[in-house]
Amino acid sequence: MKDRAPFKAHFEMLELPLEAGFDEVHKAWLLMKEIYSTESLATMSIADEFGEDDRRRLLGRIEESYQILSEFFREHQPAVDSTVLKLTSTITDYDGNALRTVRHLLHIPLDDVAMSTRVPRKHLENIEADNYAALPVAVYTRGFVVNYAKHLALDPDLVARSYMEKYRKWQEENGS
Amino acid sequence: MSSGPEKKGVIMAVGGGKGGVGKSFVMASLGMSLARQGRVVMIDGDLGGANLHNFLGISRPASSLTDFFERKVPLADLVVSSGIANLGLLTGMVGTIGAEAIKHAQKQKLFNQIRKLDADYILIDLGAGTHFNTIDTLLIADKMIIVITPEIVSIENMYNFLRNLYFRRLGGVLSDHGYRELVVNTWRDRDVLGIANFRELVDCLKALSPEVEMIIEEELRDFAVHLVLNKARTNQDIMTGNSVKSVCVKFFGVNALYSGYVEHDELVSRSVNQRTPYLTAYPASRCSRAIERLTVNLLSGQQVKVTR
Repeated sequence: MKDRAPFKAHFEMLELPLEAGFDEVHKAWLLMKEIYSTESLATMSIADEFGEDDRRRLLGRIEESYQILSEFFREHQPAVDSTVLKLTSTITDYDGNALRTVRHLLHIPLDDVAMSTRVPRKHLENIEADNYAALPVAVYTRGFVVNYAKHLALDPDLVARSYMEKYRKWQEENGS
Repeated sequence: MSSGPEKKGVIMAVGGGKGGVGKSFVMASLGMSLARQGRVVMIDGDLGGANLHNFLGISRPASSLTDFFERKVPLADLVVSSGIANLGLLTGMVGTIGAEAIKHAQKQKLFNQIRKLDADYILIDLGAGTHFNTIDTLLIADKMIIVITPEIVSIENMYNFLRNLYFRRLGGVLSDHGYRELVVNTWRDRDVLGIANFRELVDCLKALSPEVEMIIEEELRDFAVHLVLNKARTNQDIMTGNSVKSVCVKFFGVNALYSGYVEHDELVSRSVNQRTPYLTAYPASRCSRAIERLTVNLLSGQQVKVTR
């Protein structure tokens, strides 16, 4: 943990112990953002002491800590990332199953994707299941897929092109 | 910290906040849960309106803390059986004496005898409000528990209570080191010193001298409150516990742990009216399982895991 000592304040900002992994950092960051992005029951009662500006400043510091820790983990755990990167670079054709596989490799819970991308979880589930019948019209679905791909650090154009191809084919076959 | 070599029971106390948030229900259930693994004595320290016995499904015991204060009966002799194995009860009193009326010497004697009670776990249920006798009693606990509900009034009350609790501890600690009145005086001069809030007060005190800073850092390092969110109905309610915890840490600079939440259950009041402890009546309910998780978390220092 020695190399982590200089990052103590950032782990503390995300209310994590020094030994937390990137998974936890990522989750804590999403949680902190959720807590402080809007006024909540918890912050309302101290509104006179903790105003709009304070909240924005705090959000900025949370974001900064997350960026610094992300950088730290990128440097210190290249093994995991590069394996996934190598694998994803070989995929040229994306369906729901491929997206799900990449997501699992990155250990990102679906709820995190939903929270960050603001794509409703139900739609993400349907995207992963290739459940075209339950997905909204193409223009929306494409937007969801792009956001999802970005969240997984995939090439959004490539993912959207191959995913939508299958979606349209299904539409044609089912006469809609 | 401990004065003698004898094995001490873990003292857990709940206090503060608002009346009606479910302190007594949470404490009674926690006591029953702990009684499965060790000897428990529960003290109903709600001196104005003792009602813990109701949650254990028994009538008000004949002996009470009144006997300790007025007839000098040793505390250990006043513990009665609760009808539940391993669980003794020491009840408060109703109407005769309030927390305000207790003298300093009596209080010290009470604390000493509480510490010496022969039990693995000693649970103290305190009344609502921020009287300093309530706060001092909470401060003797190894685990200080604050129960909140996902309502603004309860949360605001809790922050206020936490301020008082930390303030009192801070004052006590600095007094012990010869800095009598420092906290009170600094707060009194807050306008001159440019102190707008609680956090700034602590920062200002630390800036006064390296010694004061060291005392605060050292003595208050282990200061932690355990938050329990009661009457949760939705996931968002459960999340409120995370938010409140975060505000305690970030805004008040007070170490808070989100130790557990308990779902709202209409059957709680029914079980009280039927004189059956909730945990006995509905052992497999969500609430009962939540109490079990809370027990584990309190003992281990774990917190509610964020699941979304």
